[in-house]
Amino acid sequence: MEDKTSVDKICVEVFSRVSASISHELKNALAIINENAGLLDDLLLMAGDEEKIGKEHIQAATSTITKQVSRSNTIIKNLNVFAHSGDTILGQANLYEVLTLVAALTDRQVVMKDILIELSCGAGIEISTYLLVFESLLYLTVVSLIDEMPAGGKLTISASRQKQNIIILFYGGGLSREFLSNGPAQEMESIVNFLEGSIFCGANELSLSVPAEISA
Amino acid sequence: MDNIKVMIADDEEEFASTLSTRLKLRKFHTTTCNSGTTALSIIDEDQPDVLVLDLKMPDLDGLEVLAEVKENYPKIEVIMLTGHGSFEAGREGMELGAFDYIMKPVDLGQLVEKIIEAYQKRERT
Repeated sequence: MEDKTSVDKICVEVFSRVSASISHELKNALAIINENAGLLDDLLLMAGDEEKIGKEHIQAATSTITKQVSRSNTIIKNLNVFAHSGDTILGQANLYEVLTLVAALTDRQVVMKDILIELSCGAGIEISTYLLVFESLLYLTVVSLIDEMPAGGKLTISASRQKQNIIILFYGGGLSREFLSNGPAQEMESIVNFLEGSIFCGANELSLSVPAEISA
Repeated sequence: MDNIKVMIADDEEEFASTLSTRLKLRKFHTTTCNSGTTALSIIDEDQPDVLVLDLKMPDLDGLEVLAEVKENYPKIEVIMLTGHGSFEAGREGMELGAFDYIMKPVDLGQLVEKIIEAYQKRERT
């Protein structure tokens, strides 16, 4: 089994990357809220000068503020779910929900590279594993694949249970067999070994296989 | 401020448009765009006096846009916007020739001051 300390170190690095990305997103949402609150102040001052202020300007500002508060809430909720994955060493989760969470956590990278993620996963598949470690593996995989892919591409993720294993296939243009020899992929391999799974990379395709149930 | 042409380049469309509205209320002439490549193509047609430039944008990074602008239109003064918690990225921008940098969320009073200072510097050179 892979050294637990090195896997813990990789998970801490993933957590720090997720936190950096999410705090950046929150700053953007706060910046928009700040500008719209400031705009309302400006309009109020103008109204004080007996200038006519259109109702639509106020509605636009308040609606943007509401939208950005909702965006911030979703962002912070995802971080909260990810953080709580580490509450217990082993945890059980619905695979589709885990994949959706990871896709949401990588949203900024996805947007920056104009990548479309398509997700398909059979209903009701549960996984019982080192949850934070598993989510870190998926995060690293998605982020590393996005880095490899050309801008504007599509990353298809399909997951299923086959006997005792969970199989996750990542398909996207621009991936090569050499992918597994670069830095982040080696971190992914360390985690896969820890989870007693396997990883394979072919042209435009990467597959992960991990046990559906790990017991203490 | 009537003469100062400001371009805001930020991939957060609602941020750019609201900031633009607020600067217009303060008599600046503003334009907005939401990507690095669009910023460069607009600048090729019509150069602003001051470019307020987000550091992180899709397609072309803010620092890459800054380098291109400084190479082709050195008179344009650039104020970098950064959502980073540290000052490092802003300092990097200044090494590449940015006039200054400002952290998000923006203090409008501070930004207005910096825009005017940047414009005055441009007029002196």
